[in-house]
Amino acid sequence: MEKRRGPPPCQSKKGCSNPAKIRKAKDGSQLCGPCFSKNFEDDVHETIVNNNLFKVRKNSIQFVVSFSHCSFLQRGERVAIGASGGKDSTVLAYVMKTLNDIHDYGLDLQLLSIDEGIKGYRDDSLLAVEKNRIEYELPLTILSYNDLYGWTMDDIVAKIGKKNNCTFCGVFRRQALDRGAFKIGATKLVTGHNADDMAETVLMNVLRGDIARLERCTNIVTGEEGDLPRAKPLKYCFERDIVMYARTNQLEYFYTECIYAPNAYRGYARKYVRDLEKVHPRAILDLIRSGEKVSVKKEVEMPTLKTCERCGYMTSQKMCKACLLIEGLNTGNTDLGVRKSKKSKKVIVEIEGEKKEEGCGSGGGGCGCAGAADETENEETRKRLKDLQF
Amino acid sequence: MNSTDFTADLDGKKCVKCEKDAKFTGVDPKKAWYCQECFIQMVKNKFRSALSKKKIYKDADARETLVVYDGSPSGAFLLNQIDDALKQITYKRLMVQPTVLVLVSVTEETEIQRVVERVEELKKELLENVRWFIAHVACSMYTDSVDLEGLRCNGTEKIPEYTDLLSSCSVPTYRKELERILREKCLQNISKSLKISKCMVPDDADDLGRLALDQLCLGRGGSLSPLVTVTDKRSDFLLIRPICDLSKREISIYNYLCAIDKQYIQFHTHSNTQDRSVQALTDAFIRTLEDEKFYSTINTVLSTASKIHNTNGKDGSRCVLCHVEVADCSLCSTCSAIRDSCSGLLSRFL
Repeated sequence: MEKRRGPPPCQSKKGCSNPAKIRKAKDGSQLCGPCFSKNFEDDVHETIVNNNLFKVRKNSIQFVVSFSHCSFLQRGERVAIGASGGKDSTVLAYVMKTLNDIHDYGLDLQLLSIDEGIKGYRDDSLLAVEKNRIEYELPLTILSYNDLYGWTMDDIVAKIGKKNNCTFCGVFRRQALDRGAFKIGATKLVTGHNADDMAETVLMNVLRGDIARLERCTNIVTGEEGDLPRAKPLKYCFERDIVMYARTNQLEYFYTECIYAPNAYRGYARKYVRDLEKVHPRAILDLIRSGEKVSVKKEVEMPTLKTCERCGYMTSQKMCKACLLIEGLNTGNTDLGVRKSKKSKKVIVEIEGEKKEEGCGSGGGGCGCAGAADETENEETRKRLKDLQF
Repeated sequence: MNSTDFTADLDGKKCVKCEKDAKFTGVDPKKAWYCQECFIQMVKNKFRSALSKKKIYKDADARETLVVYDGSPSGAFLLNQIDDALKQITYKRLMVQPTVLVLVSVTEETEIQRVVERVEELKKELLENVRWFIAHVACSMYTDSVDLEGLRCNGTEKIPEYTDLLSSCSVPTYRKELERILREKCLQNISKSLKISKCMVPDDADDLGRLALDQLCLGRGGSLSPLVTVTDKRSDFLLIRPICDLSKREISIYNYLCAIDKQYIQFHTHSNTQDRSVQALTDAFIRTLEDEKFYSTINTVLSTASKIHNTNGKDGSRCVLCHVEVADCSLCSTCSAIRDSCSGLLSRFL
């Protein structure tokens, strides 16, 4: 009778004799649970080291972080971890805390969450973040769209319908994270973008023809020219490996997809990337590599970075996208900042011409407050943004 | 092909050029519609402007061009455009001295013989005063120059080597990419043997848009521009893609209206539709987007590709196999992976 085959032995370089239980999506190696976790953490640490997020020197067995010539993070500095309660940010928070302890980075890590105001989705996922706060003993700050902009995503969807929701949410969340980081006194922000996200973003920027973003979207550190640089330590980690790491370490995370996401154009790119990973896993890293190699030709006109006349946030136009979107919501012109139409162009010209002197005054203006139909609403938004001292 | 295939949803539309009733449109039905005459003129203009913008035939000494015909609708369209442009007696005459290369990719002997017979018929219909050669893509296996004969399919003796090399590649994605690379190598070999430095290929916008996404997935994002735009200049060879702005749909309509669709050569290939490769996924992805009415996907991808270049390319150093710019080695990382998946048979080219 043929002998039944058991699992292969762990392929860890350290000569582990345990049976392999996990196939690592990134390189196909078969590892046991503990070796997989160690390998994953080493990968993230290596990303941090190789991309000079910390200046390190090698000390016989393990890397020791030397902060004397630190290029990105300084010992003792406060770093905000963007936490949504999903798998990526949960793993990011856990890994950053683990590496901070093992390699003695000496960072003051804090969790930062944004409540978009999506009932049945975000309120549940914030519970997962709350659990992380208790388990990892990291302070947590939650900011809401309602506090910042006077609109929840539920309100926005009720106003604009189920199309272009991600345009609003993405723009608002990016700004909200920056504002939150300033509020808690963080000087750096790390986010849980993984390799699949990066590949998807490269593809999206090609499909949308956004060459300016295509050129910079694969940078591991962005926003260095501004006040709050962002880093993506999970840039080279495959989504499947992140899930396996979370399971191996019994991390609790929220895994329901956003209820407004299925209608997004990004969904097509996401499916394509997932199919690519099944058929040819290397394509994920190759897509990132493609993005890293891209440079815009000299003769192509590029947008220049300015500050928003209303809120002081960085923008390539006179007004930042968030201000433009809020203006559209407050005035009922929901195409504003979403698609190019004669009506929205006319409104932009009007805003730029007539309302330069208005706004909440935080950093020169305030998001949407100047265009709000209700004067009381303007005042409230203005006060909220002033309190944040952005 | 029935003309009603192209004339749905007219809804009283007028031609954007002459105010006659519109009948045809390009890729996106939300954009410009044309009457029959203006549509034909628009397609012709796209072909001519692709060549004139780059001033490819400015140099009077280098007008000899290898024009590739692969039997496809795009290939037939390209031959007809060249034929038409040479017949012009005004300033519109294209200053080109063409040599037609019929590129055969089928491997069955009877199929190849059928192609040779069909080419004999075609030679009587168009470009009768120029040289015609028939060559198999297996000519890519020659490392020295190829002795081309006019009356037969050249390179058939290399078919076993060619198929062995392709079947030695264990990764479907790399096998398809290798096929593409060998096709280009074949054209380069033949051009060199005929001492012609320019080569026109019938790659249309749909082919190139898909190629752009494939190359992005293969890590060649920085080199997209030369791979999918009008010209790809190499050391002693210029690859020209004069129909890169035309979609398959536009070409099919034009061919139907001008009765060019009788000049195709239908190859009976045994392609594996179940192939799990990046190229197959890209094709399905583009089709899905088009079905969902995202008609401008190809145009946007090609426009993006034309605006970027490689950050690594230094001193014009290029990969010896695929000719994309590389930083500091003779093989790009994708070609290294292809070599590793080919069990040593590829080493003859390296």
